[in-house]
Amino acid sequence: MVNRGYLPSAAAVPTPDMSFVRLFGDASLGWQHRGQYAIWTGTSAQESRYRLLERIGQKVACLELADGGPVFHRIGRGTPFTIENMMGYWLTLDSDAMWLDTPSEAGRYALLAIGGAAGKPATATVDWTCPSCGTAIGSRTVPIATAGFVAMLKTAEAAAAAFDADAQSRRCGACEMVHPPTTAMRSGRHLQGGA
Amino acid sequence: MLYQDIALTTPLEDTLDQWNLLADDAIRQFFGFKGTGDNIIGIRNIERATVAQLGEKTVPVALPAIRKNYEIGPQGVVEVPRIPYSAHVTRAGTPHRTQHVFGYWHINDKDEIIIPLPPDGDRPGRVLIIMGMPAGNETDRFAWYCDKCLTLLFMRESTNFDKFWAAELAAVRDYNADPEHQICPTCGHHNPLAYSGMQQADRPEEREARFLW
Repeated sequence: MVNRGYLPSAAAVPTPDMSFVRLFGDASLGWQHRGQYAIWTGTSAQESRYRLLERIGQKVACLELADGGPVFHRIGRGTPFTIENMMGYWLTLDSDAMWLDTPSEAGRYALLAIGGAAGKPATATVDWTCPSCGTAIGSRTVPIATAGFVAMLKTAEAAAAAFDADAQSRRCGACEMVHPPTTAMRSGRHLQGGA
Repeated sequence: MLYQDIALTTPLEDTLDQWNLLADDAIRQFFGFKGTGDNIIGIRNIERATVAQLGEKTVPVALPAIRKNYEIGPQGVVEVPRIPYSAHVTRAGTPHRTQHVFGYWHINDKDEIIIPLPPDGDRPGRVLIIMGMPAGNETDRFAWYCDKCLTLLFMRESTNFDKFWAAELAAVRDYNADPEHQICPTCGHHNPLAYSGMQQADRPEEREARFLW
């Protein structure tokens, strides 16, 4: 035997995490931060489909095709976005994310994969968008690097609950409109946590 | 929509350049690999049932329907399925290869997300690939293991993704240049030649190898 400087102990050598599969149709998975990406997949009926919205300046763009065809889109770092019918807040990350929205015989499938750069995402900004003037409301920065992605999601969910509970916190500083509760953003669906 | 009053009313193309990577005017850029922000994106159409003969016209990185995908782990070589409408994540550091598509084991320091999309109407089946952009010392490796006993035979590394295809082809040609590279020092098995992911680069003997493994 050639000794290359490493003698295994009597304990079992840990099995490396080789690969794993997420089926788009498996609604039980929710978010999964495993390895270098945080991944969410969802399935929906056409009428309650997940929609990617991006805030561009003080406008909101809906990233979908009129004919319902497949969309594969890069959400650039620093771009505020939300997934309608899934998230009750807007998220701005310091890393890119990739969005896939595709029709299928079973309805529509969506995937959001966040990551790609070493050590990122490290921070997120959580806020809301005034439906009247497009101004950001209630911005707060949430660390990811230290606490982890799932902890950030829980913080964002708690922030959304606090936002819903206090109409004053939903008042736009620019135009004074009161943002509706976040149920208006997600049609009764709730963000699914999970490690 | 909650944001009807502030919805962007101009065409998306006016604000976001190539916002849909699957659009006809964008997709061809991703038939190889293309850096796109923090990630490298590849899009493959499955246009053929089997491997093209040398000289037949195909896209540069063609995925024949008969291909199989493999990884090497503690249990040796395992076949990994490609399930329609799924995200298969190959974790960093896992040797992996696709039969008839690239004739080496790729080992990189970034996770790869593979998304198979079945055919839809006139559109062929597709595979979308998302992997992180390597930086610093993050490395792509091109390796060959013995078919019979999995002894590592030969390996080359590259830390410059801008020159991925050049490094890949150079590794293939280095491995093929000396028959001793293909003979396992452990069991004596003579392993097949290597071939590039860019099939236009094939020499006749490399195309023969592409049919083999």
